[in-house]
Amino acid sequence: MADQRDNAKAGGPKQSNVPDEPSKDQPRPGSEELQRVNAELQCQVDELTRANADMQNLIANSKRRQSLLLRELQHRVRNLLATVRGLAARTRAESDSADEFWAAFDGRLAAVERVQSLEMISIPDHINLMDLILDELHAHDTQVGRNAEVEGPELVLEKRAAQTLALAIHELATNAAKYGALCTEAGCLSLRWQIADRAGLPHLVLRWKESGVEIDSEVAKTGFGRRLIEEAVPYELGGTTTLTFPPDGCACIMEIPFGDRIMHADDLRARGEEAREI
Amino acid sequence: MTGTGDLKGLRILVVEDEYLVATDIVEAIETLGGEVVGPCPDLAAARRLLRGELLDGAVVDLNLKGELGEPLARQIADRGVPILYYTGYGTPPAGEELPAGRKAVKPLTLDALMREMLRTFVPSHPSKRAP
Repeated sequence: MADQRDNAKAGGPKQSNVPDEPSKDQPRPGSEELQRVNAELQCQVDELTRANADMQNLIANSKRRQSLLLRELQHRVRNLLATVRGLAARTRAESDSADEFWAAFDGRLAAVERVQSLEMISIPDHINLMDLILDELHAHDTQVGRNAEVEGPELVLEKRAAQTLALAIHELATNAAKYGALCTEAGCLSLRWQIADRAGLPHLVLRWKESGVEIDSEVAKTGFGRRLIEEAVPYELGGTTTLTFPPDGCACIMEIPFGDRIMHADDLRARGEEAREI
Repeated sequence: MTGTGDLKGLRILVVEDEYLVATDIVEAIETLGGEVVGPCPDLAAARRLLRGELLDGAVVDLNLKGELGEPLARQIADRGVPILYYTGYGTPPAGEELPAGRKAVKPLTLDALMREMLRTFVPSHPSKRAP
C-alpha cells in the first residue's frame, strides 16, 4: 500500500526503467495491484452486505413470528374468556340462589382449568383422552379399580375439543356423584371407548354406564348440564350423543368422528414427524 | 336495552364454532326479538343455510375450527347482507382483506353484544351509528 502511495506522489513513471512506457490510457504501474485489492475489498463488502441482509431477514422473520404468536395467544385468551362468560351466564339462568349458582359454576370452571393444566409435553396443544378422563374422575373422588373401570385405546384431542368433552364428562360425573353410581358403595361406573367405523369414517365411541344404583326419574331433569352433554359435544365435535336414564343407572354413548381435533395418538405422532421432515 | 324488540322481523345468520359463545349470540338476538338462522358450527353448515335462507344480517366468527371465515363473509356480503364480525382477533392478519362489516372483539357483555347488533343491522337505530 505505502509503496503505491509513494509511487503516486513521485509521479510513477520517473522510477520506471521499463522501455515501453505506459501511455496515458494504460493503467499506471501498481494500479493492477490496486485493482486487485480493490476487487477483493469489494468482494468482502458484498459478502458483508449479504450477511447483513440475511441477518435483517432473520430479525424480520423472528419479529413476524413473535407478533403472530402474540396474536394467537390474544385470540385464545379472548375465546377462553368468552367461554367462561357463556358458562357463567347459562349457569346463572338455571340457578335459584347465589349458592346454587356458585356450586355449579365453580365445578364447571374447575373442569375448564383442569384441561388448561393438562398438556402433553411431547405433543403441544393436544391432550390424552385417558389423562382427561382420569383427571375428571379423580376430581370427583373416584378411583379406577375401586368404583370405576376405565379402558380404551390411546387417543388424543386438540385442546379446545378436549375442553368440550371434559365439560360433558364433568356433568356426567357430577350427576353420578349426586344421584348415581358415584354416591353409593354399591355403585360402579364403567367408562370404555373404542374406535368404530361409521359410514366409512372412524369414530370414537365412548360408553359411560353406571350400575348398582336405583335412580328415580327426577334425575333425568333437563338443564344446562344436560345441554353440555347432549348439545355442546355434537355442535363442536360432530357426531351424536345419546343420554338415557334406565332404572339401574345413567347411560351415555358419544360417537365422535375422527378428524383434525380427535385422532389416534400414533397418527398425531406420525404427523409431527412428517412436519419435522418438511 | 333488554327485550326491546329492535330486531323484530329480522333474520340473522349465526356462524360460531363454540357452543357457549353461539348460545350467547342466540340469546342476544332473541332478546332483541330477532329470528336466529342457525347457529352453524362450521363453514359447510353455514353455506347450506346461506343457499336456502333469506337473511337480514349475519354474525360471523373469523376462525371456524381452523378454517378462515373470510370466503364465507364474501359470499354473505355479495348478497348485500350486513355482517357483524364477532372474533377473538383484535386485528385481521396482514394481507387479509375482509368484506365491509362491523367488527366486535370477544368477549363482550350481553348488552354490548346487543348494541353492536343494533348498530350493524338497524342503521337507523338511535344508538350511535356505525362509523
